[in-house]
Amino acid sequence: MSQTETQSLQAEIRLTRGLLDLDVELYAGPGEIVAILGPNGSGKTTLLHALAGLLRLQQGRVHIAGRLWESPAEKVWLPPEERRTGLVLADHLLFPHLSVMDNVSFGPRSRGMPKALARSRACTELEALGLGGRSDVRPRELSSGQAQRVALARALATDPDLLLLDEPLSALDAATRAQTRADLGVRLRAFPGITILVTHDPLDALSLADRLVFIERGLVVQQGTPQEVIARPRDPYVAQVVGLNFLRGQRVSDQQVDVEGTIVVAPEVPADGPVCVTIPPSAVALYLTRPEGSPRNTWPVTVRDIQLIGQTARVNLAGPFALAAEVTTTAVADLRLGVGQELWATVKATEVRTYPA
Amino acid sequence: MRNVRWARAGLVIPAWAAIAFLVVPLAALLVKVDWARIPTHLGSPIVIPALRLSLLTTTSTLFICMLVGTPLAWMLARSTHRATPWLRALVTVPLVLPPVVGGVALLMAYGREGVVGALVFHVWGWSIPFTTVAVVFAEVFVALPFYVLAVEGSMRGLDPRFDGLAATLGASPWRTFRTVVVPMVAPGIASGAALAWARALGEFGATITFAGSFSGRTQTAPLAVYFLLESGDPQGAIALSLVMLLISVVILGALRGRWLP
Repeated sequence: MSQTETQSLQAEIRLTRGLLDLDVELYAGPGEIVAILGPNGSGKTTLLHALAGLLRLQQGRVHIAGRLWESPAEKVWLPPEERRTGLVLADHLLFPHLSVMDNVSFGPRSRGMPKALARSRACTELEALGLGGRSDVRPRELSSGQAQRVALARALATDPDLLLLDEPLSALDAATRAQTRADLGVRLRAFPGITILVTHDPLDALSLADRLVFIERGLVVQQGTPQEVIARPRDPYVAQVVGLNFLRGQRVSDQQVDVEGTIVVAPEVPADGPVCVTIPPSAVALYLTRPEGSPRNTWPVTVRDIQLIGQTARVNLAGPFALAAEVTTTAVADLRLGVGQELWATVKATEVRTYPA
Repeated sequence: MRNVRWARAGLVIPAWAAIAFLVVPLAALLVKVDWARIPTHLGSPIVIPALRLSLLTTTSTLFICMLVGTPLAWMLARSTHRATPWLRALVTVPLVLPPVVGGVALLMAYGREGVVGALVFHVWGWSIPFTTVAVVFAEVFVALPFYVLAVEGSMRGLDPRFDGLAATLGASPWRTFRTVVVPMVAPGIASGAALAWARALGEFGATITFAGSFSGRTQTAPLAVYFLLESGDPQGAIALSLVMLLISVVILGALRGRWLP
């Protein structure tokens, strides 16, 4: 077997839990960081729990670093304590009755490492995360960001083959989140094992992950590198995460796509069949009256809501199809934008991208 | 205004009546006791062995409750099996059962001709009833449900994700139980232990039915109080009662603030 095969993760996760039918194939190369994205209830956490052995597969298999962890067909099942995983949850869940040091050395001690060795292993891990001075305090004395880094140290101190992060930053406030995300990024780069990061924050995924896997209702809807996904989202949820307007239509001609009965003009349209169309919100311009000599993509729209993000405003529009526009706050004032207002939206054809669905 | 005051009086009067009802008997003990002769009464050949036996049997009972009750509480707290609610109900039965019925049931099970007792007698030639062991049996029978329910309650309050997390860190279920679950529910274990111990200390009905009342062997403090009262020594009974009251108050005080709300 090649190095790549022996260090990689190959998993087919099939199980039913309540209303969720999870059926996901997952591959990760050595040292890879894979982000799992999806709306609430799509099965992200269930997937992590299945990998950790906290839930049992009904079908499929989990094979990692040359070892078979689970395969119902072959009657193989390693209990969680015999899998080499590290788990970090949104709330740190540090053991409240143990000091930071004892929390971090809990894993190595549980795996039979002598006390002195486990403590020195924990020390190294705490130093690496900038927590060297906090080893004797109780978890309740830590700030939320520190507690989350201790949770990461605890998961890493067992040198897992597979690190599972379940929304590790979602419980932190914005400032702490940015700092912790940076610390996490640095530490993960140095981590030789595979990391599976469940998140619904696009920034976590884009800034930390080598590959993105989108799941919805228990199924993979798209996967690829962040660059691939940003360039060609194939699903409305994926497009929303990367911040693009996403439409599905049928090719009409070399430059025309029929989207729900409305013609969208693009520089080029792939030959035959269904087509995906993306429009960057920044390419959508808004006018009070139908512009003269207007671009070929001009549609009447109604304002549904407006959100201010720094100097720009994101305006959600209802029209022939749902559309989001990004305009300056000055434009909001000039147009006196308000919910329910009727406007004209235009998009230059050169800004429209199309690719086969 | 007037209505409010009347409504308040309607609540305050019964509330104080309830308090008086509870406090008057305790105060009566203090009023009726012959303080000067307390040392003599407590040194009597009935009281000393009774207190010693109560200490021995309640300590054994507590030990057994913790040994088997803690794992049972954990099983009840975490099991998702269909039968678990029924099992929990079954554990609760001795809690509501009149203790004397418990004593009869223990006789039917572990008596010389009982379901299990006959076998024990046949194999080892040893009969359980009317021994100190029988006292412990009776006390465990009534105290164990108190312990299990208190501990189970606090174990159910423990976030189940801690178990899973400890497992991913390589801890076996036994290590998780020992190093995570038990320390985290220590307050629940302490209050369960206090409840169980107090229940065992006061146990009367099942003990007298299953173990009898033999001084030094099965006559625990409550049985001795009853015996003293019946044999025309009310001052002896009061003295011993005061000791038990004192112990109860001390236990309650020690747990208060620390572990009890």
